[in-house]
Amino acid sequence: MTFYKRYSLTLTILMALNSFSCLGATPEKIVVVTNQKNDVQVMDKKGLIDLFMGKYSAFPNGKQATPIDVELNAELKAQFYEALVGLPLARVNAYWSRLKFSGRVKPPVIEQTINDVCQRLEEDESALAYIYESNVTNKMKVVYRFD
Amino acid sequence: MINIHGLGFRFSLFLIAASMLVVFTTAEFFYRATYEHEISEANHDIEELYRTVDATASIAAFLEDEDLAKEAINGLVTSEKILAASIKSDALYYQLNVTEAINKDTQSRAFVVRHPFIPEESLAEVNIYPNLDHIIRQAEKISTDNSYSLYASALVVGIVALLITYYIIISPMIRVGRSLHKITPSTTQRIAVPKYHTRSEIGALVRYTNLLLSKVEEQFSQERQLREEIEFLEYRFRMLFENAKSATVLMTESGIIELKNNAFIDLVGKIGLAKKQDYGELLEELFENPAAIKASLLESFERNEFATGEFKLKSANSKNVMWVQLIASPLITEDGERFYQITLNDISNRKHELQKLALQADFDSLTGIYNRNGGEKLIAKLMNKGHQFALALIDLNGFKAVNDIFGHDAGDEVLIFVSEQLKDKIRKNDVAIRWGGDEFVLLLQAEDEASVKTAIAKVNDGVKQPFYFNHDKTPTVVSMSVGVAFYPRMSNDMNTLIKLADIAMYQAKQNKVAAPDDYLIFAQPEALNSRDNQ
Repeated sequence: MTFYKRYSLTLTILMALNSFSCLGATPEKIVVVTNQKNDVQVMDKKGLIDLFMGKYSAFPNGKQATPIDVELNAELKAQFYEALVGLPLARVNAYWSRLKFSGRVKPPVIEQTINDVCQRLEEDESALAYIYESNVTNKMKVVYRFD
Repeated sequence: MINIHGLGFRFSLFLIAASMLVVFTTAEFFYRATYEHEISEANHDIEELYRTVDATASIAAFLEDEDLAKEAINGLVTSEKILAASIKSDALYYQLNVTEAINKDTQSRAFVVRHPFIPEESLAEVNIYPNLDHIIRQAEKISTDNSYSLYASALVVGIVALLITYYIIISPMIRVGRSLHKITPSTTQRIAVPKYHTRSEIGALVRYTNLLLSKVEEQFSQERQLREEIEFLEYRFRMLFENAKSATVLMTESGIIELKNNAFIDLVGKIGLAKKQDYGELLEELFENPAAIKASLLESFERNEFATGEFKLKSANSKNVMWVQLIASPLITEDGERFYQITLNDISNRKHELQKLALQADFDSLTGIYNRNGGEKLIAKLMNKGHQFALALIDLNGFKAVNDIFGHDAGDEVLIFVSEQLKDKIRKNDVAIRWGGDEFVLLLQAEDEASVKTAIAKVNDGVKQPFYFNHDKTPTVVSMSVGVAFYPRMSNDMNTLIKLADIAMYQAKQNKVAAPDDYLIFAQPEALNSRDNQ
């Protein structure tokens, strides 16, 4: 665990150094967050994929999970999916178009703006969303960081 | 149009057969190659087909969504090339027709289904069972079609080859053949070189044929000329042979006549023999003395000489006696056959003339009795044989007067008359001879004077008969004086004998006026001596 912490710290430092060195050119970091009260402390990429791409609708601990897409901030959304599954938005949309007919699998819940997302996160314990790191409040808990 | 023994047909047949053989031997290879190709194509197609459902299968595996899995598997199996398919992951299994495929012992092809978002992670496996029946059927169909099209193209090549050979080779050859057929050798007719063949082998053939025709024409004209010369010569020879006056035959050893000329036919006709194929060996039937002739000829042939001789022919009547000069020569042909060439020259006339000449020598032409020459011969003959005879020398009295008064013709008449009388009045064995002028000799078979007297008296009676000339009314009478000498009593020598008779006759002539009856006097050998002595 200490190894992991140190490792992540080192990464963070490295990233920070990188950010400083190229200030303004690098986009803001995206993090995946939950409600502060959520039992889930941390998630891995695979778990995020399972939830956001509709395989599971519950966290690994069995509690319901509600993944949230931001509708109006396409840049954030595109950045997130690129980072998560390596696909452009069009492909992600096409994936969902194919699955809508089955009705069994549901895509993430849609919120309009980042503020709406933040508000939902603060109110809904099952919420799971991606936001810029700068938007993180103390009512939220970061469970995953994209490096 | 198509001759089944013709070049074109044969060529095409061989070409088709060869292509068929090639097709036959390679068809299996092509069939196999096509088959393999089709099978690999089918495998490739299966991969392609899988790729079309890969995304669906991937999502189905990710979401563990059976509907999507069904969609993917059913989609695969709709293809004719796929018999069965199944998808299998930890949470999912779906298959279609797999039992049937396993029953058919079909090998499946496995495809790994990857995580749609994490490609390095495999989620499931799709097994695809190719519809081998269908694939093999397709492959076989295509392979068979390919083989058939190979056979068909071989056939087409053959037919095209036939047409090409027909128009390029056979048709011009047929035309050349026809014109060759129409050509009469030894004329100036020649074959035209077919169009577009001036430089081809057919053109060359035509040119060589024309050269040959020219040679033939030349040779023909030479031979025709030669033949004409030979015919001309032969005609001459035949003319020479057939019109020859000498009868000529060419005959085999056994006597069969191979060639005979008109003169021979005439000769045979003259002696009254029928026309025949042969007249015995060496023409012996024609001759009077066949054995002698044959012996003479064969003897000459033995010595390898030609035989010649004069021989008498057989004759129908004794009046027409024919003599021929025979020349026979044996001929041996190049093949070793033996022939005789026999030439018969008619020498009858010459023979007759010779006989006549011989007669003329011994007989008096005017009176027909022996002349002095014949008489002398006869006397010599009698003397040689030792006969005894009396020689009576007769001289006519008054003959000179008849000659002078009535002319020589009248004298001749007297001489003929006297000769007739002498001939008539002597005995059978006695001979009358005109010794010259008006002198005659009688050879009498008598040894004594008495019988001579009797014989002469008969003759004298005949001669003394009155003789009338043409229209003369006074008769002319010729008398004779006779001197007789005996052989061999008086002399052995003819001349002496005649001399003795002459002396005696002269004595009688002295008496012709004084004692006409004393006209016969016998010779006195002493008188000769005495006269010689005088």
